[in-house]
Amino acid sequence: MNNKSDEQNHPLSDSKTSDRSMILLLVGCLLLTPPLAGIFQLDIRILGIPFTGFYLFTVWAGLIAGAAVLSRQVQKSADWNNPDDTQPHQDADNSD
Amino acid sequence: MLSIDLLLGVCLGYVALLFALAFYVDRRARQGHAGWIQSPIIFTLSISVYCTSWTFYGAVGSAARNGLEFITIYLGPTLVFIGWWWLLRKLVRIGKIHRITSIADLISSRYGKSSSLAVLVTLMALLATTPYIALQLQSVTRSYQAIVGEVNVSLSAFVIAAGMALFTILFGTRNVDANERHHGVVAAIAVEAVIKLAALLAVGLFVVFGVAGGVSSVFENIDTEVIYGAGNIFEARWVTLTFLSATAIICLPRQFQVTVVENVDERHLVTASWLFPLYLFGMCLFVMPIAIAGLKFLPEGANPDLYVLTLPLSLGREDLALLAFLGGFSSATSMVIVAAIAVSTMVSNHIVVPISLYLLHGRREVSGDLRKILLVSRRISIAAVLGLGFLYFQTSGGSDALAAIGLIAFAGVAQFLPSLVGGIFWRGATRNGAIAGLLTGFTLWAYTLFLPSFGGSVILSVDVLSDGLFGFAALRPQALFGLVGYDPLVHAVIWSLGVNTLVFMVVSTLSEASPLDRLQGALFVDVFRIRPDETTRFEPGQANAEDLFVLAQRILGTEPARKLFDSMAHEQGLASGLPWPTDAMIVQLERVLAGNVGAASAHAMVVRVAGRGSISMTELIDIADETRRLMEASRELSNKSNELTKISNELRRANQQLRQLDLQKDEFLSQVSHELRTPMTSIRSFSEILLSPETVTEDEQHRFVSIIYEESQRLTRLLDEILDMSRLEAGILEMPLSHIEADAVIDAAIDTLDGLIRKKQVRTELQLSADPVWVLANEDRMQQILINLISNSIKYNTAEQPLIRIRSESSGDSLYIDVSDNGGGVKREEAATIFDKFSRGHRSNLDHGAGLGLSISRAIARNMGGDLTLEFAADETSFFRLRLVRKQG
Repeated sequence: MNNKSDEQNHPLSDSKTSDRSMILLLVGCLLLTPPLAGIFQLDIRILGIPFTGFYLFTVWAGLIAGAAVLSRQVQKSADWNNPDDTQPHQDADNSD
Repeated sequence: MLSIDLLLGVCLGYVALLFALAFYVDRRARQGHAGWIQSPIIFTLSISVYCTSWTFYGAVGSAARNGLEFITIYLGPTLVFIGWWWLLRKLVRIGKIHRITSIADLISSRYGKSSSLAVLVTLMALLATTPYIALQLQSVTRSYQAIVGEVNVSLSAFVIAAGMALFTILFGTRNVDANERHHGVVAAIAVEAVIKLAALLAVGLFVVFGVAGGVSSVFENIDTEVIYGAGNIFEARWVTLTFLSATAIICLPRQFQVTVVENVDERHLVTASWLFPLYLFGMCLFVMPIAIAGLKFLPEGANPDLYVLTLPLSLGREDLALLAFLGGFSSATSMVIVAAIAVSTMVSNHIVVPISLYLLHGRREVSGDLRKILLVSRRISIAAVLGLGFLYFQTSGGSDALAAIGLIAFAGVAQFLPSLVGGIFWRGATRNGAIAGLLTGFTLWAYTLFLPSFGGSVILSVDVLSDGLFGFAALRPQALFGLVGYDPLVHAVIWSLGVNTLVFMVVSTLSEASPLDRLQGALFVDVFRIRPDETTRFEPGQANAEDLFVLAQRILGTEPARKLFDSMAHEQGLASGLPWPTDAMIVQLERVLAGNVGAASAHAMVVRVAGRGSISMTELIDIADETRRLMEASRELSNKSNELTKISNELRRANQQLRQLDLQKDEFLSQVSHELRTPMTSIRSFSEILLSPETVTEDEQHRFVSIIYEESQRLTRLLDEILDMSRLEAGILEMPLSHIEADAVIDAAIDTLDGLIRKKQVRTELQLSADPVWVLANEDRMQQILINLISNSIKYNTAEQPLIRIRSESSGDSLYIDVSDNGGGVKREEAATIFDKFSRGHRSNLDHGAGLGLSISRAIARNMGGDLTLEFAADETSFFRLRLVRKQG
């Protein structure tokens, strides 16, 4: 097991993406809770679906898509591509 | 109608399949072929243990009663996973490094390995989990009932509980490894996760497209009140539910188990950050349509909590009903299994094992059997947890209290949040703070939410509920201190979690953390900065010189530690080997270590290694490594900064020199222009006068022209000198050297100046060496120097009878030619500057020479390998001395 320098392990190295996921969290909180969410409690329907339900599921899907994009970015960053590094104790010791 | 035989057969077949799968995966994993079971998708599916039967059946029930509100239970976890997965990552990292086995272990470990905290958290988790397990048993028996009609409820619940206990014991306690991972269990849960999602989606698709005939027709003729619930849905309850579910995904013991303990790779969290929300999205997509269809097509009074099952049943789709049953069964069993593993681990590690060790204390054979004790106690704990769940179901089964337990349990485990999040982000959090916060929060939770949920039948009577404790209206459980107008859940969360957080922080800031508490706090908060070294694990035990030596090596370095231990051994009169770990030796070591890591840390470390504490050697060495690394880094830094200081000093010096040279150059230029200006001015002014001849007499004309002539000569001389000077300085003045006779040059110089000498009536006195002396010089240049020196003596001599003495004398390989006069000499204070450019002595008021002569002469002398200096004789009279190199041989 190779011991990489711990800079690679440092959370700062992917701080950009964690900042971005923070933004995603903030956007989600704002859009899905009152008072902002109250704006979208309307008595209209889209494709027969009551608007609020449509709105909530759309925001939800958008958040998932955003998280998927961010996870792509994280997986591309270098420190996630060293499986040995983040896993000091693989399960080899499970055989007793 | 489905037959009982078929249902039982499918059920048993399914369970057998799960057993087989778990067995197969466990065996593969132990052979080292974990493979696909360690993929991020399996990890994500195992997190979906969050969706219990409370979700599977209950979400539709909730949607039928309160509309869209059910969605909050899934929005909370979604928000945590998309935006806060790095918190989970920190938990996972801490769990790996510190070999955390449960949430109780994490909290107690963070706060100085406090066993009282461990017990406290374990009991709370047990209290919140038991009703939840009972709820699962209830939903399975009810769904069974719904399909086959009347059954023996207790018996079927018991069979299910026993079956789950068997499964959990078989696959949950195969080993007692430090990292509590159960691959077989995870595989089974992943399969169950797929089944429950597939079942819910199948029923949903059937309802929307098979029954209602399209998305838009589902919602036709449906009052918006059904969908939005009564009134405004985006109220305090909406926020509270979202927050509680977000908390639950972190704090629920079973979630902690699958997310942190069973995690094999931190990177799986990245995939889960979107895949798990997507799973929840799928689980929720058809909840509302199913609820609406249930309200439309099922008779009034049908239990909304079973719509998922009864809807296909009543519409004649028994295959779908069977799938739905399996989905519900899967959700229930997966929750029960994981919760049982999680809670039984806590109960076993923090309650059963300490008690059994205490009871068995003193028996020698115990130590070797620790492993067996652990396994047995784990198995007993699993049986006990499931037994408790079954008992709870027996006593309160069927009541509304049980149906409401989901959210109540969420609020209960949410009490862990302040201590958990505070513990991993805030160094200042202390054990006392955590205990105080948890106790306060849990008491308030029990008083305002848990106990009142029994409607006055348990501990709190109906009177207390309506009038308050002891009749104090301010103590009404659901309107504490007059806080009315809120939903009971919101009310309870505000009080319990708010006061919990406040007490946790206040007590933490007021109380002193124990050294071990501080140590663990630093290790947890800075977990990403600590290298996960693969250090050997030491058994905690008595003080042992080797352990102390290892610790000292880690902190002091190998060589100093060896020297220290050698000297201590020597003091104890030992010829070789390590010293005895006496108290004096330990105190001495501690003092030495304190110089490196500070007194508090050194004390904590040494005391722990000496066997009086419970922190493990590995952790101590982690700290030691960390400290050592920091010290090395700081030493390197200070070295580098020293070097930089040195370089910058040199640069500053060089810069200063350059500046000085620049200044000299400026000065030289200004002096040169000044010197050139004086003759130029007189030439110009006399020329101007001559331009208007009518005003000038012929005599005057003649005089003026001769002045102009003299001045231009002077100007030429000056320019020649400056030219010489710059050539000399640049080293480009050609000066071929040859062997010449010094006396001849002196004679020639005096001859040249003969006119001047006669004019000024100067007497010359020559004292030349008897034999001719040959020197290596340029004849013209040497003559230039001598003329310069002699003419200076003549020009500036104010004596009545001027006398010039010229003496030559050879010594060694040098010839000295001294020129002195009786005209007052050069003052000592002028000696330092007399050779500078444009410098004039005090006698120079007679003639305005440029002041370059001496400096040129010296430069020439030096160019010829000699020198020109100003010397002082014993009687303080000054003379110039020209040194030249004699011809060798």
